[in-house]
Amino acid sequence: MIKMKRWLSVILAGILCLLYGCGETSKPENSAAQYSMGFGCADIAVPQNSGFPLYIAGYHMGEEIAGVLDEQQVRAVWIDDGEASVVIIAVDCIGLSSSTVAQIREKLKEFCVATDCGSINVVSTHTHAGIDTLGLWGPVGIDGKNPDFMDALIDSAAKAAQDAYSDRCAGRLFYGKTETEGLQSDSRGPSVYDSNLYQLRFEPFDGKHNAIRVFSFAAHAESLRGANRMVSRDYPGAVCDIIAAETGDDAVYLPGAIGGLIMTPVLCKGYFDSEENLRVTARKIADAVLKTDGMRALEPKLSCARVEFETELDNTLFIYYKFLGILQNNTRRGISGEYMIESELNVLRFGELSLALIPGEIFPELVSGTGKTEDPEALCSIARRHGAEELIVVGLANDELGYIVAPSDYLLDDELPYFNEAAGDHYEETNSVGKGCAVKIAEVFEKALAMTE
Amino acid sequence: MNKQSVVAALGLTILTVAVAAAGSQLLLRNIYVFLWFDSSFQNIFAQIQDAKMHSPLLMAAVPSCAFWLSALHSEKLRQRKVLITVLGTAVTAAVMLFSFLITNVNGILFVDVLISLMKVFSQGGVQL
Repeated sequence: MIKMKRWLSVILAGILCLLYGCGETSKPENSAAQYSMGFGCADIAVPQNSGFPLYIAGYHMGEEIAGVLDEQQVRAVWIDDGEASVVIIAVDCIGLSSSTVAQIREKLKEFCVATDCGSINVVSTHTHAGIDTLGLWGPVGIDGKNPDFMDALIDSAAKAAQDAYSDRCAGRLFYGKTETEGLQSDSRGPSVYDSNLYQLRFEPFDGKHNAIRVFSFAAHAESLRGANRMVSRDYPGAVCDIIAAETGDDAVYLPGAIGGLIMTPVLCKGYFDSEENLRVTARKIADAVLKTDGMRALEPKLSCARVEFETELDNTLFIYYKFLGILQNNTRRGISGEYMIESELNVLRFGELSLALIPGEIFPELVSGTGKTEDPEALCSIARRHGAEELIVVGLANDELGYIVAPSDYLLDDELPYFNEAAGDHYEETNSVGKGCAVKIAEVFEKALAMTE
Repeated sequence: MNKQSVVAALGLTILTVAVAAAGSQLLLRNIYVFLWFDSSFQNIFAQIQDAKMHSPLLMAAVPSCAFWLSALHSEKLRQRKVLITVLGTAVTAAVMLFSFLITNVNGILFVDVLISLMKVFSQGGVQL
């Protein structure tokens, strides 16, 4: 009888091995603790005859779209470990203010109650070929947002999140990274960027659902460049399309630490053709996603933390835009007349891996460290102190505060700060809320990280 | 105080508030000209003008009405029509200007915007 039990155990173990694989990637011993993940995707329809212009965002003010190359989309993933749950919604757009994120969350209020979802996070892919979602690209002093498009975006975001929940199934979640070469350039010295492409890959147990890849790469999505007026998701969408066509996997792109200003170089050969450049760029980034090997299974242990904060709003132009109702973040006037802008920072933790969801375009040197006393402690170093060995920094998450510049290199024009650039490479300061933002981000990141322990 | 002076005070309030409102509208519409601001800011001032005008109007109406009532109540002042007309208009305009400056639009005070714009343009202006 005992012998028979042993044989049965061996056969059962063999079947499990065949079904789920062996060794490092085997199903966790505690079958109750496992990841579930789902994917949802929805197009954002370009409104026809809406009565409001559709301005293209990212470069010049007051320029309307000329057509549609590929429609902007919303891609969402649901992730839970049986206890905690999170939704990450990636929107193909230049950026979303905290007020739009609040509207999306409001739309998903009942969904959150019904599904016990603990955290909704909305990330912008930062495509520079999308319709204006921040209002900054209308004519001077005029809100560039199209209300019909914004409504469609909010509806699509809610739909993608709900679809992701409906699609969820149990499986294993892997993490890995691959180093890229020749896919980034830094337009501002010192040349610092993270050349790694990070990836989470979910493999369902049932073999029926698609695998899901969430990848993060630090480069502005502007391979079509500034003369383009056609609506497009730029390389993030094109990479997702390649992955789906070649592997059948669903994919979601999240931008990394792109401040400073990290972008993809011109990769097409010969004379510059924007669509060809997009194709070549997407192909190369997709190759990097697909060649990522040595991925390791993550312990099914998910925790989320959200910290609301406020930082000084120094930028005169941002104050004007807030006054005119174009910028819609909450602000508060201090006793001495200074304005404070409200925002939030989130941390998601998957075992030893942490995702820092930063509400803006952070300079990569603030993640890796500058060694200068004026600057805050590097986010990587803070993460290590809190036992998070691996860190993925995701930019433009739940808000867009503009560039988050290292204080040691923060320089404003003496005569017309925020209107004119200071001498040298100091464009990013004109699109930042103020010098104090970097220190505040580091402080809040540590607070959020500690909450996930 | 008789019924006639109350009616007269109300009428004068409406008149002076309307004059002050028209004046401030004109000022706002053309402030970039008056202050040698860059013409690219015409849009911004047009937006400011459209943003909030009703609350300063209401705020100015109350002290203006009080002024006219008290002025008309005084026999001595009633006889000095030019003086009370000038004073009444000035009081209304001053209150309206003050209340406009402290108007909070979308969380930002107009006075802060105006001061920062004046700083900007005292440095020579900018072409947006």
